[in-house]
Amino acid sequence: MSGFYWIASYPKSGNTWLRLLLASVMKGGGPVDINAINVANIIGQKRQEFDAITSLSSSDLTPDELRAMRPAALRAIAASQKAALYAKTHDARIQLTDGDWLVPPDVTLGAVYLVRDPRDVAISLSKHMGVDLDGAIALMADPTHTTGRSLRHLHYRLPEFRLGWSVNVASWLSAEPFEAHVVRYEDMRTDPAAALAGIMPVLGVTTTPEVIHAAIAATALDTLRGQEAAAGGFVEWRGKGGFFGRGRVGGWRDHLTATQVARIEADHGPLMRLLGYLV
Amino acid sequence: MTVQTGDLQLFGWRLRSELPLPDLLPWTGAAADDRPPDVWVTIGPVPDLEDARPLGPAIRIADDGKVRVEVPGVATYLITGDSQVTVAPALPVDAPDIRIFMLTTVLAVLCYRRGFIPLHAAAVAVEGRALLLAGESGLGKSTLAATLAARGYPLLTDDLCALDCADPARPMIRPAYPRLRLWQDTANHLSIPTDGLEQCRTQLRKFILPVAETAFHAAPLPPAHLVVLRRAHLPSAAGVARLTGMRVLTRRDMVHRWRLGEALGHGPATFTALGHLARAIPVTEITRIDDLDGLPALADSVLRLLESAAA
Repeated sequence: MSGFYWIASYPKSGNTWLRLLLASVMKGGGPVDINAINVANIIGQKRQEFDAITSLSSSDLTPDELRAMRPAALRAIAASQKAALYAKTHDARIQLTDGDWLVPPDVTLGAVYLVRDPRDVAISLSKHMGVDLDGAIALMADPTHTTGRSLRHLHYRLPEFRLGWSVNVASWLSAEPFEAHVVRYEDMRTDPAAALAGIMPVLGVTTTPEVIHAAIAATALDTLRGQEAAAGGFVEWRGKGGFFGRGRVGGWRDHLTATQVARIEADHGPLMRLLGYLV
Repeated sequence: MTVQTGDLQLFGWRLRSELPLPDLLPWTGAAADDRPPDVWVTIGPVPDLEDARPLGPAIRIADDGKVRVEVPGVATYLITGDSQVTVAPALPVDAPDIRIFMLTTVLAVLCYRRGFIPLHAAAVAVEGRALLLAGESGLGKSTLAATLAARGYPLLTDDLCALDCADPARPMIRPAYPRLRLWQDTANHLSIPTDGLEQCRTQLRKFILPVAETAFHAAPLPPAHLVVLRRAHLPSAAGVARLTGMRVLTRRDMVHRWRLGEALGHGPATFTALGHLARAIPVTEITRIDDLDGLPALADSVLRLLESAAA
């Protein structure tokens, strides 16, 4: 059956790790190569893919037009494939002006949403986006934040509708337009085997505890960092320093000022409480 | 019918259009003859073609071969056969927004129907032959073409040219029209002022830069070399490789709207034509980290490829 299994999250919340785990599980727990993941790549945001499926030049379309066409493009991509597709996304699940959903439920087979303490996300996002911590905190609080929508140059990717941490998280916690299996990154770090045992069926994958344990071993952060250093980078990311960090839980206590913590908690308090990040 | 401008020429066709197409050259000069128009563009209502087969969100293909292209808020286009285009504008008829889809998707359909392959490539003339620059969007085809044009190599196109394999042993490249489309940041980088230039789309700072008649090569040329640009995501992936055989024939990104061409039954013709092209000229893939600062060096290395192939 064609359609999408989504691996969704706000950026820097374990998405790539889960994709690598899935890639390993699909190989029976075998080794993975960060520069050839080939599982759950980004879909709907690749210019060439969009141009091919729509027969239009995305470079001649406005960000608003690209957003309006996204659901139809995803349906056409699904219809062009016989098998299910795994897709990564950092988009918020917004409803468009015509009532359609940016992530269309009718071509969705399942979805996992990873969520991470926004105080830890801020540290990682700052490094990832090449902005200071206050800049990252501001992006996370911006309900309109969209990447790749410059009107002055051609961005390599089509727009990504992140819309800030709270909007993004709330959109995937919602039962509309379909239920997503929500997993806290922290829980996946603490007990990855238990988290994966819940995730894999949602992604339509039948596996065994042995395979899951092998996949966890194959995707140890030391291994991933080592691959990144050896290859001179990670193909899916360009920026200063390394993509794969320490995956630390609670690192914010050492890196954020009290003011920064207070700001994040003020921006995202209700959802942080709901998810157990604030008591 | 009302003809607002004189007839126009494109790929050797005589074109008569109610839609203003100021980008195209007039039907004059050595190429002109008194044949009736090959392509008619009229303004009028376009039917929904509700029973037609959809190809993605914008295209419908009817059993009788009619192709409907809809860009909401801009225009709907209907291509009938190989010679008739009807445009139903949603904007004033002189809006550049309407032309841009006319000169990409609609033009690609006309190419297929009229026996050409629409190459997704920029091209400049180097010593009487066409240097083709292909590769996925956003990799700098237009920018490289603009860089080469600024060095005095006449432009053939910045995005789409027609591959004519009427004589399979001697493929020809048919130039498009004397325009470059440049984004604001690229224009700034090339020190090209954008004041007063028309924008392709009202909302996009992507400008239509007219190219002087002397800086444009209007007559068909045999190809010299096809350079395919590819994005390197890691410095270690950068490099130059000669492509041959199936590695050329399967590069569908070298063809404009290949999926639409296939849906219209031109897949085999496209494959055959790319085969003729690959036999006629060398094809080189340049994989690079894309950055504007590297353009002069890229232009140098592309020109060196031509020299080494000629030597």
